[in-house]
Amino acid sequence: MSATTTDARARSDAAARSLVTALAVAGTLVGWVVLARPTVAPPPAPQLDAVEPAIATPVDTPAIATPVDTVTGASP
Amino acid sequence: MTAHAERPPWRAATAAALGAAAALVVLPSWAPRLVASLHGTQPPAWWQLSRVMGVVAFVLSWASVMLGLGITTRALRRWPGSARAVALHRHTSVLALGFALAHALLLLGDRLVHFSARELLLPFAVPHAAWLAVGAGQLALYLLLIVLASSHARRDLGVRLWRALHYSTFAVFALAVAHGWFAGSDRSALTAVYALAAGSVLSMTVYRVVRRAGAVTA
Repeated sequence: MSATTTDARARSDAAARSLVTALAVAGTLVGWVVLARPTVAPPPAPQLDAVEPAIATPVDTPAIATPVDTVTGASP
Repeated sequence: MTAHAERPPWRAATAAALGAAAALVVLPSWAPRLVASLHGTQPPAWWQLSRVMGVVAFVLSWASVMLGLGITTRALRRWPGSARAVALHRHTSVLALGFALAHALLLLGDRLVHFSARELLLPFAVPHAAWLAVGAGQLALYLLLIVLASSHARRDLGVRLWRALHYSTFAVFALAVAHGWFAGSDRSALTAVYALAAGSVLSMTVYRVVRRAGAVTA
């Protein structure tokens, strides 16, 4: 095997090793960014006292009388 | 003439331009997140980096085991070639050890989980629910250190002892899978990774054993 071929192979091996190292470092950075991303806040839990009852209790409310101008007889 | 002089000059310029363009696109969104994770009384960067480096160490150790198992196969002899496969097998194992060490040592700076130096160095000393799984990772790290040291001292040790020690790589990988599966914070996201890695190593090991048995009986 000639010196040129040996030299080319050594350079190629070094390039392959550098590529693997670069991939590992890049993977670490990408992973860190993924873990460091702002987490989405979970939706608030429903509050029990905010839930309306299924059947509303009928309440006897007196009718509100519409005010009437006693002089002219007009209502607002 | 040197090797560098033979390279066309436009390659470096193109690589620099592509790198600068990528940095312009990526950095404005990435940098603030990374800086934010370094702030506060309990900066989560230590914990986050440790987790990520543990996963990268696992992937590197998987690659190393697969390359080691596949060195004699026809596929790896064709590409990338046996010599380069051996070189990459060694390089990935050294990188795996470096990343695994960083994975452990970064926890010393962490203020979220609080590991002491004694708990990190001594296997099974972590007062944590997952102490067994953490201990498995610690054992894997020490075993990997022994395997790599034995490979560097192969001539002094002799092939037989070196091979015996080299077989403990399977234990290293099994312990690493157990550590990631039972102690890892990211198990739910990485279930497929652990399953694929374990399955591929098991398949390759069975293939090697069957092939060797066939070669012996033939």
